[in-house]
Amino acid sequence: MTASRRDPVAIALWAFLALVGMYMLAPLVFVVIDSFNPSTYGTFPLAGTTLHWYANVMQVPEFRAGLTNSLIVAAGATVVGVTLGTLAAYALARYRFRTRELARSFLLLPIIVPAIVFGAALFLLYIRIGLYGTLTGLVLGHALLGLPFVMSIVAASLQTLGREYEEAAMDLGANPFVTFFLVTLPSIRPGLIVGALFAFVTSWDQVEVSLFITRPQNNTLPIAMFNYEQNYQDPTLAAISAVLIGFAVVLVLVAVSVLKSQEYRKLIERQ
Amino acid sequence: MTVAAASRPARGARGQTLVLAGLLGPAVAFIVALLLTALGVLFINSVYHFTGTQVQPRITLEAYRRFFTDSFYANVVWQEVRLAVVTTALCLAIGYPTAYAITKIRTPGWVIAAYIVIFSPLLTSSIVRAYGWLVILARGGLVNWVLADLHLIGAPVRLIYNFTGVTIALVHVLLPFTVFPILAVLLRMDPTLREAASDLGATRLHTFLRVTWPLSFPGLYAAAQLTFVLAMNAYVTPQLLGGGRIQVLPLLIYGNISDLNWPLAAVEAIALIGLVWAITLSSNLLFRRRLAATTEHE
Repeated sequence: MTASRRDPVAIALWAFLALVGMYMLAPLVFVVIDSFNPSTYGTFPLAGTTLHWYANVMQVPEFRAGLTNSLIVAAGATVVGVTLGTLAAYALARYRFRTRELARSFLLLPIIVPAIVFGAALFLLYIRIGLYGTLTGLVLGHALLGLPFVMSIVAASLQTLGREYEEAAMDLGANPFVTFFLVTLPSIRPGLIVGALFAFVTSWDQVEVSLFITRPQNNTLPIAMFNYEQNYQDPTLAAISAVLIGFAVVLVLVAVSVLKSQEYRKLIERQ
Repeated sequence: MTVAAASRPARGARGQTLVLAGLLGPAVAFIVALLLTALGVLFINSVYHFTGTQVQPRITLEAYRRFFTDSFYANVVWQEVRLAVVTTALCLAIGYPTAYAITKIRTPGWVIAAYIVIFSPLLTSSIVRAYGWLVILARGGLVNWVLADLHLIGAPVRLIYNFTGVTIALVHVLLPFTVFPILAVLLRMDPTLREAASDLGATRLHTFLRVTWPLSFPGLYAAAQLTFVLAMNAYVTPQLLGGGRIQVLPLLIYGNISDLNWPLAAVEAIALIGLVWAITLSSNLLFRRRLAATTEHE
């Protein structure tokens, strides 16, 4: 922190940060510990360890169906969100027009409306047009929530890129489409990956909107977990949560390594 | 100058309009078709008649009348605002020193570790985090075991299915959103200002109180507003940690949709948006001078 280790202010700040860190990690750590708890009610202290709850996860059909649905929906929402978001970001970052700020604010609307309100509204719309309880309906709803994130992240990386490469490509005779796909997209790859990760995670962890538009027989994984939590309280939920925490850790590692390798490559290219 | 204009001078304003329509059109149409249409349908439902078993498309203001005259709803709103205010205050009290401490770390590895610890919980579902707090705070949970083991308590303390439990978990869920805006402002702050203050003889406490704190006010304000809005709109945490004993508008909205009383759910949704906007706008007016003053200094 500061140069002197004896500095009381620095020590206090370190101690405070350590406490906050423990508070942030506590629920995740104890979910993992609880997943090995032999007690059905998840009581502490643990009287031994068991893998029973992990085996039980496989026995709950709602979790299996939920996992498949969640993967399909998150993948679909990512594709739709990244496509629409990237096109819009390109317009906002590369063109000057009078309604640009208005367009940007409009595209941020999905994060201004509370998810719980959007979920209720979407339910009332979907039951009229037959999208209630369908995966298509979920994909569209989740894509809308991911769109502002993709748009902001991709626009930011387009702004830092500069236009020189695109102009060079066009001067050399490439048409705008070729330039976009062969020059622009490859050079904003880190932004696209981070935007796609945001869109994916937004969908993957979505509860409030999904709650309204899923049918009981056709849930996403978070909704299946939510329902399980309200009906049973055994550590099966801890086991599946532990698996999801592991999944999130992998995601962090992938994101960090992708961004790092990109930065290293940039450094090497410059030298 | 745009790419199109720079490299293809033949293309005029009409060409640009076409390109823009092609690029922005899909996203804008998507938002209109899904979000605005859905909100429109929600609004229409708010003025429909509920027979007790189903919704009839007959225009009436009875759902509004019920919401604004029944004291039950005033109580729910009051509980919700209290929860959001307490949560926001705790988040700021924890989040500001946390962001400040992060800016003081000199080792890059520790900075990355701090970021991961503070922000990675966002990658797990709010259900997982709420469940984690149930494990820790429940009757037979970790905290009660430790307290009983230390003979600090005779009987288990009730930490879930009440205001305390919801607050503990909600602060945890929202803290990353509080830390981020404060951290952004602190990192953007010109370090020479603090150096100048200490060169001129100011103590560390003085430098903090007279330079860092006033300059970080916009970040603190943004953090407070974001945290408050998210706390008002929270559903999962009050539901799972409140166990039905904490009522807030998001829970009522879901309950009324399930009970088929869509007009009332629609009114509650509109009330939630209106309440959050009213509080945000009036606080902006209240702090307008203070915020403008800080921006001038920068």
